[in-house]
Amino acid sequence: MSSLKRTALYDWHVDHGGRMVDFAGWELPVFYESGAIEEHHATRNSVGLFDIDHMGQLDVVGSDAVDFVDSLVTSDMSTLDIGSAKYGLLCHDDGTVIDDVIVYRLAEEHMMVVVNAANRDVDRTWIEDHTTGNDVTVTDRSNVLEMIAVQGPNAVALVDAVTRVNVASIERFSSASIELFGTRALVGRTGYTGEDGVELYIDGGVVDVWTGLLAKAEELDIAATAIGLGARDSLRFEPGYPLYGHELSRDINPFEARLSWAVNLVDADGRDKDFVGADALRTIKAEGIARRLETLTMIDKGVPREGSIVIGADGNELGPVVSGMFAPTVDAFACNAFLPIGYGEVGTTLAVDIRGRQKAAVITKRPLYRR
Amino acid sequence: MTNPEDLKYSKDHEWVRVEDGVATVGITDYAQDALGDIVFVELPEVGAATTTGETLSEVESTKSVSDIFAPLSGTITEVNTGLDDDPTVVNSDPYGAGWMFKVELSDPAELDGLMSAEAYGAFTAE
Repeated sequence: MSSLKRTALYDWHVDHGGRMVDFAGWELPVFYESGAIEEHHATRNSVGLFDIDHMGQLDVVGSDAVDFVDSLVTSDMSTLDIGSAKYGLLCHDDGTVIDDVIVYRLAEEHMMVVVNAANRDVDRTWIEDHTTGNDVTVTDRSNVLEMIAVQGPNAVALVDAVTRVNVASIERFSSASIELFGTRALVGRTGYTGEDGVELYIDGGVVDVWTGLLAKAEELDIAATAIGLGARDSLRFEPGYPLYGHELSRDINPFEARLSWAVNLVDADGRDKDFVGADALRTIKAEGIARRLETLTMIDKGVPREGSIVIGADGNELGPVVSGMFAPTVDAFACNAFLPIGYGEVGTTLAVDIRGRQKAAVITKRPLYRR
Repeated sequence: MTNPEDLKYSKDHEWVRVEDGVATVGITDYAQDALGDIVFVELPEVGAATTTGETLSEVESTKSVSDIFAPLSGTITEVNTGLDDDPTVVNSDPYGAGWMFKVELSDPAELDGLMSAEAYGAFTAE
């Protein structure tokens, strides 16, 4: 365990009953005393606080910053306003996915790429390896910037109450620089739970912000709960957000993962957008995909965990489950799997082989949950 | 955590209550706490024969799936079907409403291989 990295909030998690587990090399709480299901509901009903400091931030600065990031990311960065953020994918030449990222344009010549913990080093190397000929400097700020998420229907009101900036006026996928609890932070109206809320990028002082938000919530009589990785997963699963290593990987292309909305093969001016993987993705789009991400809900009870196999009516194996769990808000056992095109009609009954037991499941309309 | 004095305990974190040659089996408070929220229990079939140590059923938490091993040999006479509707009682009442199945013992001498509450307490403190 000693080689695992710890966030600044490690002691707080342990002091508050956090069950610490290894997640992408980081020692983080999977849940606290009250358990993952209560934490899930707490976020849907009021406010959840998430320590997501394991995520990485790569600064790209220089006169070519916008064009350079645009040349690596599937979504169109050329039209990104200063202060705005956009979701996109880093792809290989063959169109498979290296990572999914959120890109902020912080200034005219300053982009910040927010990456997954497991892919930090891969992403940084990938980006640095493509800088030749571009006027950009890439700086990994992951070890400097601290990151937490505040999510839920009361999240914006809570953050609004601790800073002078009108947080409620920040639009979705926009950001502002704020001061809270004596420290500066970038607040983005983004998240990974299907709820309204913000993500905070803090220049040191995350423990003061975290404890300050909890104290303010108590003062305002807003229920605010620390959330572990277990509920983070079920909160992202229900609204259909992908998790790298599950719905996205080096073996999956964005169309299979239903992320064509994040792939701009044509830019705002109607020209072909050129980025790494674009040619492969054009070919894949033209030829069509052979399988696609589907969500199944269990008819027979059981947890269709990752690695379970979806079985067709004729007994053939259709594909492996990539995420599966009990989904608390929809009160169902459910899973995601990549199924051959033609098997994906909503309402179709299939089976999931869960450790040798075949259990009935039905293909269900995505997403399972929308606020 | 307190483990009831009148129960016997296995190294696989199950408890056993024996009455008239029938053992009621569940998982311990220590086990439920380690697992977190229980979302599903795959119960064994009534009438199934059990052999000590074999995998009999599974308990699913938000975090993981864990095997339930037969703590004793015999025949399953009853399962707690109430867990189908509300598996969370394994968390809230592991030694009561959270029981999982009953085994009619074929070899009561096997009980000597289980631990007392005190021994189990020491085992989990290691």
